[in-house]
Amino acid sequence: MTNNLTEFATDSDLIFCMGTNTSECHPIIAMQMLRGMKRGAKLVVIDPRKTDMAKKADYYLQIPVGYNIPLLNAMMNHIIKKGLHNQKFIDDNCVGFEYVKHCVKDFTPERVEEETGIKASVVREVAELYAKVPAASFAYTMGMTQFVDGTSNIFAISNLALITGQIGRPGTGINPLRGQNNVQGACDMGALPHVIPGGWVMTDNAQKQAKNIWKCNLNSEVGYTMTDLPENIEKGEVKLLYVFGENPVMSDPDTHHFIHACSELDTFIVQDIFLTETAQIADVVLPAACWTEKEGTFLNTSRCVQYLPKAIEPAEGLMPDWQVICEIAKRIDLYGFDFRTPKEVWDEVRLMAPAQFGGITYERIKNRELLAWPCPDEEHPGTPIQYTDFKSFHPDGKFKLIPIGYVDGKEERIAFEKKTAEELNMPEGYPVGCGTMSEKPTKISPCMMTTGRKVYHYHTGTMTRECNALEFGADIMGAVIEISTDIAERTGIKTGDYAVVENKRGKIAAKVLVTPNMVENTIFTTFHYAEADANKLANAEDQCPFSKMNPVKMTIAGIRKIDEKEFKEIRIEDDQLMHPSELYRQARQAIPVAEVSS
Amino acid sequence: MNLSRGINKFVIANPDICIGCATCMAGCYQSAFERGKLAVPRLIVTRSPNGVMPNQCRQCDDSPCANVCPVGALRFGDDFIESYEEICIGCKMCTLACPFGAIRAEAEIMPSIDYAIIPDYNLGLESVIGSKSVAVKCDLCTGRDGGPACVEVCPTGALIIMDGSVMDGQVVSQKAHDSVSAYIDNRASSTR
Repeated sequence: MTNNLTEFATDSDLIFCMGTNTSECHPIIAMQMLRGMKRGAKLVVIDPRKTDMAKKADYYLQIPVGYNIPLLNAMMNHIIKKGLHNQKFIDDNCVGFEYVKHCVKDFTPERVEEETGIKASVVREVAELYAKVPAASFAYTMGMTQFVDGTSNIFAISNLALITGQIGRPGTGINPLRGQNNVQGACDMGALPHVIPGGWVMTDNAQKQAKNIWKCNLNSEVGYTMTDLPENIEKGEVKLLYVFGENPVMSDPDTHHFIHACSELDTFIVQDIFLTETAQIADVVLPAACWTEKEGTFLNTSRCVQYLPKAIEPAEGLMPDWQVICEIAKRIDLYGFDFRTPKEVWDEVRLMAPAQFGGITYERIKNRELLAWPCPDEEHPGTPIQYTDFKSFHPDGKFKLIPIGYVDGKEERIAFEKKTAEELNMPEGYPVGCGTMSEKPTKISPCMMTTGRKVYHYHTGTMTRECNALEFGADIMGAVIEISTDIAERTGIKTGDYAVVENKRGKIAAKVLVTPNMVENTIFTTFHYAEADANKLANAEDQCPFSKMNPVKMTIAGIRKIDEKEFKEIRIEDDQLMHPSELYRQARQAIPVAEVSS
Repeated sequence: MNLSRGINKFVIANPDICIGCATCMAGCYQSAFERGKLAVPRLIVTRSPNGVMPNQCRQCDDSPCANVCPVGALRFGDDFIESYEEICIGCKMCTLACPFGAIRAEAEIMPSIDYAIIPDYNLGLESVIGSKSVAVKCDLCTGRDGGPACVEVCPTGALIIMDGSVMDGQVVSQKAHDSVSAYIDNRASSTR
């Protein structure tokens, strides 16, 4: 986030939520937003599902799955047409305004109305509101990023915020709400193929830091992403996989393909606190201490470093993840893993990235000082709001506005990008974004399908499904397939029926909930449940050209009603696929669920 | 006016603040489990087309459920409707009588059954002949230190205990005060 999450409550005049189910996935942030609304802030929600947040919103725009760029471009079209853009901000701080102007001219609010049924007047009103209010904050999550045009979606948000100057002040900004408590930290620490804590791997600074501190020559080539992993295993380029704190069998798209790829590994190591679906297909499973049993830091969504002390001693034989990794590193004679405490690990982070973390000492965060990076020295108060000087991270300090278009088929994207670059006479290497649908409904798979979370469970349910209060107390519904009313009418499926959702990648069976909250011709289901994991059907073939993200929020599927017998057959088949470990199966039979958690 | 005596206290949510996070249901389950009651949530977060809030027993003063219960499993207590699950015969008359949908016939889940695979044994969703269900409803966490768990765990403060004094002070008197003030102000300005 460019800003602090509490600013929703204290400063924002407009909270613009797109592709986020805030109250279910980020309840604490939703609470801050509601406080803001009580103060008088307006709320706009844009989502294919009428979420609980949408029900509280002043404006709710129900878009089809993936219809992000045309809507944002239409808003910009109207803002520019009406002269509501902040020309001074653009002149002083941005480059590429003429590109954006050119690309949004075909996207009118009337076109949105024609394509989606959302009234053009509403699009205009929302656009004017965003441009006119003193402080508008844009919040988004996976409903923007996990598409084949995910990066272009974010370019479009940044264009909108920049042409209206809604950045660098309290209550404004571009705010991706982080889905995990330490996902910001994982990225900052270099759990990505192109960065280390000292910066991008090809930069001089990163090279220098690696040489000085790690005493090694850093490969300046960008590695491959997680989404390329199954293919690289199948090509024989990856022989060993070491997974910790993740359950990719359930969370990665196209489960059958992923499991097949993993079977070709020479060695598969999983380190986890439970015998997850992934651990069950591993060769070696290492135990780990859980979050209450270890000391360390989290880097939250507002870029604040937070200290977490150990609450209880780990069970005998368990070590925190960092210690396990250090022990393995030492066994293979790697330099620089002689840490004795988490503080020493953190001090190395400060050494590696002094500009970001130099001033964030253990003493300060233990004192509960809320410090957001960048915090270069020990007197620095941290930077809760980025870009207050309106300077970007680019060498020239200017923000780049990226032209974004939208094409009918994914094959046309390259042609569009080339054509735009030529038409606008753009400099070499200047990015062009382009939206498209990764898949379109077919005769066999006539419905759009999207995935998400329910408030009761966290991600693949590794922890929350072991908690009886959540599994049996809060989540009394279990795995449910939510369908729009028009699918229900067409197929005759009613709430409570058993149904199977299937496409070429797989099938899942669950009970159906017909809901008026869903945009037409759309199926929604979650990835919390091993017995009905939506990711079995998710698209792993297409990728975003910039980030390599798979479009896991958009696929196509067919649905049909089944009887109880077929339902049980599919469930048993799924159970065997997801839980192949005899150890796990025996344990589940023998130990009553109630005893496990207590 | 004094309502503090004679009315039952109850838990109610403010739908403007509720974000539907279901922490109350988890807290309710845990409280019931720890107090040795049937381990199921007694309040259900209900999502309607225009909003979300948990729904639970209103502890009606002349409660249809206690009136209709043939065995005294639901009884008129001092300031709420008491529930004695151990003597409930599962006749479900209270479920029919309750105007709020706040009493359900429930049976506890069987620890030995995998509900993911055999859902027809999930008694919350299906009824199985031969299983004994009992009526569950909010009992204001009787016997729990610190009062109702849901109120304690609600992160947004949407759930509150409404008793006579709160009702009297924050609801009735406040509204009466506001409406009288408004009337006097209007009258003053219109006659001026």
